[in-house]
Amino acid sequence: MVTNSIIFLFFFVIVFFIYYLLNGKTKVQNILLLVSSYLFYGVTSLKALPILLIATTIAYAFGIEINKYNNINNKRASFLTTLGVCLGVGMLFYFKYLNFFIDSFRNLFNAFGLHCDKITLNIILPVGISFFTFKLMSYLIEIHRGKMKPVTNFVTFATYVAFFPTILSGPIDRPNGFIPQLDKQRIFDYKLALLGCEQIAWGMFMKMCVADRIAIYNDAIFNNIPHHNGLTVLVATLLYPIQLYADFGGYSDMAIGVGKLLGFNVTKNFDYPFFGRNIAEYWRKWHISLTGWLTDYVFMPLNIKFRGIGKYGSELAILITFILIGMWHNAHWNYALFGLYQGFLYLPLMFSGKFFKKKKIKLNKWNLPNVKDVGNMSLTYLLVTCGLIIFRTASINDLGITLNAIFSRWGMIFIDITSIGFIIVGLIIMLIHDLHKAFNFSPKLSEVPVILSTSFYAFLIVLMGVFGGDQFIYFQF
Amino acid sequence: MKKFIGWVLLLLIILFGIDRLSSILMSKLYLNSKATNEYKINYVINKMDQPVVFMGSSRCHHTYVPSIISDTLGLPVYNAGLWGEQNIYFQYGLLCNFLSRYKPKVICYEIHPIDFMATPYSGIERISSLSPFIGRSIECDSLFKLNHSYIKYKISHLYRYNSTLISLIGGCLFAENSQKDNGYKPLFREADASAKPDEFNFPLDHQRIKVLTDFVSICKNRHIKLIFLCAPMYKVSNSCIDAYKFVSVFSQQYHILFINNLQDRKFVGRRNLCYDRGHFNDKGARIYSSMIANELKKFIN
Repeated sequence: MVTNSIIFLFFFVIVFFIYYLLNGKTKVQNILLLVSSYLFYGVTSLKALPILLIATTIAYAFGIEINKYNNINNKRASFLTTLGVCLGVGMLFYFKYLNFFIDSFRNLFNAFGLHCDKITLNIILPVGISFFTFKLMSYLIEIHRGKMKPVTNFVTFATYVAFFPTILSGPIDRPNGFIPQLDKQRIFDYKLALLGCEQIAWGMFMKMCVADRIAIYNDAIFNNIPHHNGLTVLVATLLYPIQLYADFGGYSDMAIGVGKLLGFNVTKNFDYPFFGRNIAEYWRKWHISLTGWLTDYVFMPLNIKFRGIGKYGSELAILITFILIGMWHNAHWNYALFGLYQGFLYLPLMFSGKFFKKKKIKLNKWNLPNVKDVGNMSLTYLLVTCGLIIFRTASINDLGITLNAIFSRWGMIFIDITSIGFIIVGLIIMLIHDLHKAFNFSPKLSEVPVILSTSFYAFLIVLMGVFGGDQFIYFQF
Repeated sequence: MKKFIGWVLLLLIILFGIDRLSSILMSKLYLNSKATNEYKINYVINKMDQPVVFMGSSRCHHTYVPSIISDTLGLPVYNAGLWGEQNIYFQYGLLCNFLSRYKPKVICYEIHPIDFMATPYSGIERISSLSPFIGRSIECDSLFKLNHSYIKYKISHLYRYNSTLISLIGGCLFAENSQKDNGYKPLFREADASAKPDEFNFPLDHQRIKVLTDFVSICKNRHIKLIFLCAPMYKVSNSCIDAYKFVSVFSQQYHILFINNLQDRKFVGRRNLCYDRGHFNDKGARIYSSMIANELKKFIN
């Protein structure tokens, strides 16, 4: 079930009305949320539902046990936390990475002349496993760190893990931010609901009018690279970061909007990343819930561990963190390479001392960034684009084909007038929206009533949206 | 909550109003567009009145020169072919739409494997080109229902023009009518010698065959003479030759004349007469039109 489908609309309307018929009855509302979340997940991937249920139950039991020993036997609590996290990592490894490592080892043995037959285990990949496993692990770590008490009510905990707007592709909510909202009495909030509707409409616009529109053009190019010249491949490559942002950002907006309609504040996932002036700023604004998670649970502990070697230690911690970010996406070496590339981009920042500096963007009289900042933003965009070439290609071999195409055979650009025309219109609207939200460049836009902005987005979707477009890119992760 | 429901209702009313108003505007743009697709579909459905009509996809659009054929037959001819792999779903919908207004004497249909094979490209979604004319023909509407798009078009009139704005604006402001000779669109280039022939290794599609049969039935019921044609190609694969064997059997079964020139040696492999592997250039189209007109004269009077 996709969030921008008619089936989801029917499903959500039913859940929404029953949910608010139970206004104020928090526990019953949670049961409803849990049942609907499992229904939603089951419809998407029935075979994976037991895996979700078992993982939730184990983490729930571990949480209680860790808390029990937290003050009386810290060693045991640490052991239990490590075991719980290892189980989470192990689950991810088994379902997502085992076949990849078997393949990699086989290739390695073959390279040394030791013949190895191809073995592929028939393992299903549970949808959203990378997202809900991270939720489970952060829950255990936060309890062990004493930042939260374990949830005693299983329904509340299971609802946090399986919350249907975010189960498939995040954002990855932290337990100490989300679980208290489940315990709180939730009464219908009119203003929050309107904002939710507007955000859903905007998310759908991003997905259907920008991401899927670019996808038509880009798929035509990337699926037939040998038939296109270098300039065309370059244009498609430059459009890819926007496609990815509009796709995943659009999904995140829809998830956050649905959350608002149910009275929840779901974690923000994007903060206008292309306004980042360097790679560090970019990553502070891109997929915030994942980068924040890895910063807290991987980078910070590693940085402390490596502090004996100064800046080199921090850079090493960054490299490891980014390789993990890359590999988190999928089990392919090109994702590891993507992470490594991002990590190396931090080198100049780290050694120039700019890494820890957070300078505010100075705006000109039109409430827009100045030329120097725009230049830095453009440069960052280009660096990000280079990284995403690695991300987009299915293998290292394909990466070579793409790069070869870009740097050879230049000619007239392939223009599909309809696609290019709609892409330009979509980009202009998205740019105005993002500039306004990030810098408030046109205060009058803030005065537009929500009903009008929502109608405008809906109008654009019907007029220029791609219906029956591709699945969300991040569903595969 | 009541306030929110009121807000949602107001939103729906606003959306309904915007939808109906903008669809009227889009309809005006559509009717005034000179861009190939919109202009031709609009012309065929609302204005075409020739007794001899050629139908089919791009192989029809760029092959049959009405002025040449008309001179030989002594009857006005219109080429209603349209590029863009327009398969039998589209052709049947188009036929039903113009039959609600007028009836030609003869339809010459340039048949193609996309009309009866389960090709992964060119499926039932091709019917969407006719969405501005929804509600005109029950038979055509049945195809929208088959495509699960009928309800969407009924709810939103603007959706009928989804993704057409750029082409409509361009068609109104910049495009000139490219159908100079009663619907024929010439191509100017010589075929690339290295072009590989199209392969058609696809199974038969029973749903398409059913629509093709409906196409035949409607012509028979309205006493329209139907002739299947197959023009030569620059390069022909064995799978393509095999694909047309189905048309031979089908046309025999329904007593339809089938003129198959797919492998005509006067054209096959002649670069100077072809635009690409499957289409004639203007020179080839004119020579072939003259030839096919003489063949057709035996059957059309």
